Amino acid sequence: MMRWWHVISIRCVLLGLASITNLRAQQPASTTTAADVQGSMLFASNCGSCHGSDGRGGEHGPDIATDSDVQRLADSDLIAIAKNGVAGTGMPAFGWLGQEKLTSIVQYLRTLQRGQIDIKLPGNPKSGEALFFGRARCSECHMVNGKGGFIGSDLSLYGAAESAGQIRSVVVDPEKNLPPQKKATTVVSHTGQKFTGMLKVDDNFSVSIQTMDGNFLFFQKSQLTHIDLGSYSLMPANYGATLNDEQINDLVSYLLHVGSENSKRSPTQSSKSDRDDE
Amino acid sequence: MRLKRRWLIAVCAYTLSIPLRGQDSEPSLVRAPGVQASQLLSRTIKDDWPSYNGDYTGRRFSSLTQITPQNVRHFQAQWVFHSRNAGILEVTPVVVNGIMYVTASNDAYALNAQTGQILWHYSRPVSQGLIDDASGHISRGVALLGTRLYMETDNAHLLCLDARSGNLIWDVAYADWNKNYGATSAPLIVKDKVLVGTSGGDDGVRGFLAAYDSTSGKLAWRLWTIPGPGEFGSSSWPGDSYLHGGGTTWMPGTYDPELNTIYWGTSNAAPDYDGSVRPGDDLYTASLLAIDPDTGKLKWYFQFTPHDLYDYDGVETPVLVDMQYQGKPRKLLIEANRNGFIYLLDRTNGKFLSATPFAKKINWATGVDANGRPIVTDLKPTPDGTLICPGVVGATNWFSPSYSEATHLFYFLAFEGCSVYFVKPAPFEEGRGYYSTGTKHDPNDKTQRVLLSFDPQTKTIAWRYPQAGDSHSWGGVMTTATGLVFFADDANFFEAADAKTGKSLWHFNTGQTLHASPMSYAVGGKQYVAIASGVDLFSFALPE
Repeated sequence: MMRWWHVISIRCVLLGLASITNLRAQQPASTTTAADVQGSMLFASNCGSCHGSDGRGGEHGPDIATDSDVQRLADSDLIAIAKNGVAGTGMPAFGWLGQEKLTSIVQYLRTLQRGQIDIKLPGNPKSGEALFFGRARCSECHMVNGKGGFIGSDLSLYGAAESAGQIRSVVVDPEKNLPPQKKATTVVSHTGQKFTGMLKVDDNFSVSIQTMDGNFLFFQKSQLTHIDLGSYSLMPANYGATLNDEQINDLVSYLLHVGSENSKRSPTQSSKSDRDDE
Repeated sequence: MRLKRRWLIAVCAYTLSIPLRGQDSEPSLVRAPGVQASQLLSRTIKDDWPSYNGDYTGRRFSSLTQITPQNVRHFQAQWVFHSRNAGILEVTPVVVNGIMYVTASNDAYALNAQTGQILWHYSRPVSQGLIDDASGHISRGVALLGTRLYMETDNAHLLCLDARSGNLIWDVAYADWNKNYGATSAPLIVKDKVLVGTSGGDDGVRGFLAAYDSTSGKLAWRLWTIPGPGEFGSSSWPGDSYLHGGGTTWMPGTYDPELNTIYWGTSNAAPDYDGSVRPGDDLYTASLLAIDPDTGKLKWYFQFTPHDLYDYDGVETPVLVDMQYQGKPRKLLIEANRNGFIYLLDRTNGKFLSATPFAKKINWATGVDANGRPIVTDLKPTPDGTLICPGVVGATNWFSPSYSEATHLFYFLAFEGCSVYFVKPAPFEEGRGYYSTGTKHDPNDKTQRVLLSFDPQTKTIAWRYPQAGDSHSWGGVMTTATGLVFFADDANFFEAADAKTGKSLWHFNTGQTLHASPMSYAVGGKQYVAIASGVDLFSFALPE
């Protein structure tokens, strides 16, 4: 018999799923198959309590929805992990569920990883691409498909895991909407010198940051009087003023489109090929 | 997205004001990722170790002098890096400007070389469905040029990453027409090209060395190691057997910029143990190839083991040594080969100078003639098995040798052992090995690792240091200007010995079998020695 907290958690999860579905109203309910339902229920009852009902991490388990390392794993690898567990991490083995149910779970996880299945683009991705590499100067810091800067995140897969609304909110108000790990860290030395960059290492004894020129700076915490982790966004705060609504939609559309395209490609597929064999 | 302008100005101002060796209250280190192209040409390895063997000569000789035979007994582990996703690490780290770059399977990491802390991590799952060596997901390291980093994946893709972030810039599948190809090596940068080879020599692929434009990822040239129909050497490859002849290029080569020549070894022929389908010498397998780096044209070749039937790959590091030889300064090439002989060649023209047996047990040949051709005994694999020495792992293997400019001796780990070789003809099949049967260990045979020191002047073994252990290690050697030889022993220890005498001076239990080669670097005036062991990488230094 199912324990009471299981029942509650499944109900909560299903309620949560229902509300997510409502938010993503672009996707007609009729496209949901029986397999999807089975996968979502199995996910909720076996995985959600640790990994969160949206797979984005919980108290006991890591994010398996948006983490690109997990996204890149083959279905067979994910099934093997679910089946055998991961020794030493608290991830139990679910082999007793059987291959069919494990496959349903992984299929459902893929839908969580993809976000919306049918992406309705709010603007023109071509124009967005031109903005990204041109006037909006996003590529000075961010890379997409091997082109662009290095100090910001590689956004090649960013749009695969985020909604249009989330991307838009980060573009328009990064200060408010970027998570701390995507913001700059500032440290101040004993002599009052201030250094700012992206955080690379933080432990009890040291901090390392990378500055805009690519250099890594290594500090002993004993050398510092002040450490402000994830203090503020390096992104321009005024896209809402310098770009009009249509342009922001184009930018968002480009990131959604390129992310979606890249997520369809297996990581073992190369971006180039040179089959000149004889 | 775009930086705030004010912030950029502020950062530039701060960056400019940061002293490289600051006072206590300032950051002690500012480290720029990447390498200057000119640095790769240096023949002196000091603070940085910018490529797989340290420099293009393959000597693995560090000019750092902080650690000496007198103080090495105080040597201590400084940090351990643990790879979570890899099998056994065979990587040699590359270190430039205090940043260490390592690979573990298909993942790459940039580490703070002083602390082992991860600065970035590029991750890609291991490939499914690979066979044989490629299914071990081994990666021996990276190549660096400018702010770009290059690595090979287990399924023979060449990846170009941004060395500042680990972001993928491009990815070229360079051997995707036969799924028996794989890759385990570190690429080699020569001028503006990045050179890559493959594994799969036991699995019926056609070996090649390929050069890619380091910026665009476009193929510059490809040199096939098995001649096609009508080409010189093709008489060994009837029908379409040239497509499955082996001769793979699975270790980094060496390079002489003055002679504008790359030296690259090739693996055994395939099928390994059935020579009946590949009559003659089986060019260019088990050979050393001298190649023009600009065109990929073969300048000359030297074949160590013609018509190899014993899996005697010729991929051991071809070490480039300039020394007085028989009274004259010569540009030599020294290679301790898997077939049990140490070869000396004139690297300007490939002329054979000498071959000295170093394994005590050699029965496939009685010697090497004046032209460098082995005098074979006609022992060959049979359906019922034939005992042949050296055995299938060779009398040495891919792990690094070292030539010391301090002692003028050549060091490497030798294997003593034999195997029973069997043959059973079978056709090539994609997805399966192409050994045409196999080998087994001789139960009466005692295998052993021996650290050897070879004097190329006198062509004698200067000293032997036999290793206790279970013969499961695959340990490389590195020497230093202070007369030390660092090596991985056969009982999980990393050791330092006196390069003149072979006397052990220091050892450390890594707790795992070593399958890697050591290297040395310095940061902030402190010398380190690093080596991978099992799934970890250790870095050692003297106490403060």
